[in-house]
Amino acid sequence: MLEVRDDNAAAFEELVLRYQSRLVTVLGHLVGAHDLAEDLTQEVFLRVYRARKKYVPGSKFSTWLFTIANNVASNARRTQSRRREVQPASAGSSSTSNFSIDQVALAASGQMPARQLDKAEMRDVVHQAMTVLNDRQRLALLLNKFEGMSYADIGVTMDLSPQAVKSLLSRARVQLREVLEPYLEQGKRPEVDHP
Amino acid sequence: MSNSPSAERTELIEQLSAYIDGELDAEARQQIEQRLLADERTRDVLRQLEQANALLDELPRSDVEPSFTETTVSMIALAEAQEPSRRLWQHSRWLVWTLRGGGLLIALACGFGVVAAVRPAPNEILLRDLPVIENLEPYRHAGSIEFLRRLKARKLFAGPESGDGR
Repeated sequence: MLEVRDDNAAAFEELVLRYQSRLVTVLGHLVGAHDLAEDLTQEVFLRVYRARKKYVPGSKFSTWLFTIANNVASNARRTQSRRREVQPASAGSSSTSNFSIDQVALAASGQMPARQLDKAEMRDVVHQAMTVLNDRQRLALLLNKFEGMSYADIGVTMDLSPQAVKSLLSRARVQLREVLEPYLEQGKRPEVDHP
Repeated sequence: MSNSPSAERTELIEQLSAYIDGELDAEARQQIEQRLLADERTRDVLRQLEQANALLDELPRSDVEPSFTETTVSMIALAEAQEPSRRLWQHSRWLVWTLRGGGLLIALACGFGVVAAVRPAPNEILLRDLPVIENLEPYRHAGSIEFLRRLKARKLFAGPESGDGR
């Protein structure tokens, strides 16, 4: 990042390459759509580039990057909810679900191996269960799980104390477990009210 | 520390969750491990939390097209190239509004000047009529301007206060 700060274009390209998938993954789970996550990732990198001179040497780059990503995602969610207010009929579960109609059709035709279906279904169920969590719980879980961030780093990213992060994560896990319990115990898909 | 069962349970869950994440200090970790050894219900809670945590591994990790890096860098380069003209546009808009404001002020000042120049000042009228005003009482007693003029012609008024004969 120090080289990026000193206007090294190659270093910036390397930085984009290193973090792009990680950002798209986290933002995708936050906003629920891959295309939007890619757009937001580009927005994050643009902000990083514009703010490169403000980067303080010694501070952790990933916390700085995900702080920016959190702000960008919050703005996008606000815009999304405003659009939903304007077009309530257009809201649907398709954008938040990875379990596509094609997969269901394939499974019904018997051409999809059962194990693959289980995996895909499980992924969809967990994805659905994540939508029950609030934005802060979801971000804390994603940073913890995908980025392996410590409570202190999650706290810096989300402007919370480590103790608050500890509470947030434990509540998120309990809630996730409660939502997924019917599926885990009886194979019932969780009942999720899409926002 | 609260003694209520729900607060104790919440604290236990928080400690177990932090235990999974390796966020407990040595002393707290030891306490939790002792409790886990002694209490099956605590072990159940830990299992449930671990299960919830493990399920997150099912979430897909997104990948992007190989061209994404190049597209991103190009987009940023383009946005940066357009930035000076965007700033210039913002500055020029500011300049236009400043000029409009300045023009309005100048127009107001000119209008005021023209009105002031054309319209006679009330004080000037008073100054011009001052001799009449000063002698208004004797003039009223005389009753007629013509009569006063005849008196003046006969040089009955003496001194500079005789006025201009109006």
